[in-house]
Amino acid sequence: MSDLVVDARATVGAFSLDARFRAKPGVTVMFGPTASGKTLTLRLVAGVMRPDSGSIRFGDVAWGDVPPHERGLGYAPQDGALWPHRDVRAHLSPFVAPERVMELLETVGLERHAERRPRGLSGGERQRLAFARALARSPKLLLLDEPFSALDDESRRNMGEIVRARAERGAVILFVTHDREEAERLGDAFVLFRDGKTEETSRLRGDETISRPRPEE
Amino acid sequence: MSALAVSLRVVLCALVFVVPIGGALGLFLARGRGTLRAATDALVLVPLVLPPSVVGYLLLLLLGRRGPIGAFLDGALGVRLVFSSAGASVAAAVVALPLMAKGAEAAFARVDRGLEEVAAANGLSPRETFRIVTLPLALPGLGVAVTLAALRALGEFGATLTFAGYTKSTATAPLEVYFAMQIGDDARALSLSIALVVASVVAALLLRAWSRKA
Repeated sequence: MSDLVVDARATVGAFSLDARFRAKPGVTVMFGPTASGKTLTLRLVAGVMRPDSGSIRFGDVAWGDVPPHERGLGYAPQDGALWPHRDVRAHLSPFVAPERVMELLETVGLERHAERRPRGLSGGERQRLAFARALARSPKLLLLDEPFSALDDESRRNMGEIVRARAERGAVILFVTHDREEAERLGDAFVLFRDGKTEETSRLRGDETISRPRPEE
Repeated sequence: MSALAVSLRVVLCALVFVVPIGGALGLFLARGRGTLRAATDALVLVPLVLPPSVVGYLLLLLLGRRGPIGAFLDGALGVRLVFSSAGASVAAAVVALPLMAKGAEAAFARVDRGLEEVAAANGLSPRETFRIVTLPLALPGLGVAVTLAALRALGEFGATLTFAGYTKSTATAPLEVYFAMQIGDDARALSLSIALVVASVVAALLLRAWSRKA
């Protein structure tokens, strides 16, 4: 089994991050106030940003010089980062065979919207598409940045079950959420973020500072 | 061959070189870093700001039959650029290249990096990311760049006259307007001018359509 070991420093403007934690196969929930370094940490792990110092290891491999596309990741960033010029189906077709595309869309409940562009989707539908894209290549490491914040309770639970199923199959999943109930339902372990510092814990105490999720546009 | 046909041929031949080279330069300007990028950024504008006669003269020094490159082309390949339609295309290409490069730079710079990053982080190679995300999103802006470059190539006068000269195969529409006027053939000068005005207006409308999409 491969663990993700993060020991990395990075500075963006006036903000400095010092992230140190280990994530085992299963769901590691990243919890903490807005602007405490969660998204930045995911960007470092994804490799779209380089740490100033320190290292990130996955299993036996140090990721210093491994480009993002060779890391075998699935990544759903906070804003979804959907491609405005491609329809729903074309968000998945670069990653999987055509028959798998419809299967994935059914999994996240978007099969009836295959021809739509992101502009024509609701906030929740956009998030489910970004989630499906991250799942497409069945990655060993999934990075999910508030993936379900715009979903209603029922689809949030359904999507959560998919996350759990991937975890049972041995994927390492970093999951950012501001929802305490969701964190406790999905998390095997927790990393608390505060002012760019991290603290590992096996359960939430109940007094951690969190902020409200950002209102949907 | 009529002057408009010569012009069309010269512009199209110029674009064959200008679009890929200028597009690649634009990508490098938008995404590159360091001193090489800074130097490219400064140099790429030179053909645009130099007087066209100077551009033509420098081309003559380099590519003329006694120039270092021109002598080689003539000796090894039997290609002579001076007084040829190919020479007119070279002159048009050189002055149009800066517009293509700077336009392409703007087009690529406008593509949201987050959309490329998510492609890479989900496993697409840089080449696939470029094909699937970057290029289609930059396309309207690249359309603007190509149109501007084509218009600059179409209107090219000074460098063409200085380098390629005025012969049957280099007599583009702008050159013809000038020489028709010189010999008092006002009807010819006027009809060619009207044709160029129409072409420019059509291109400007096209530009507007592209710009709205970009």
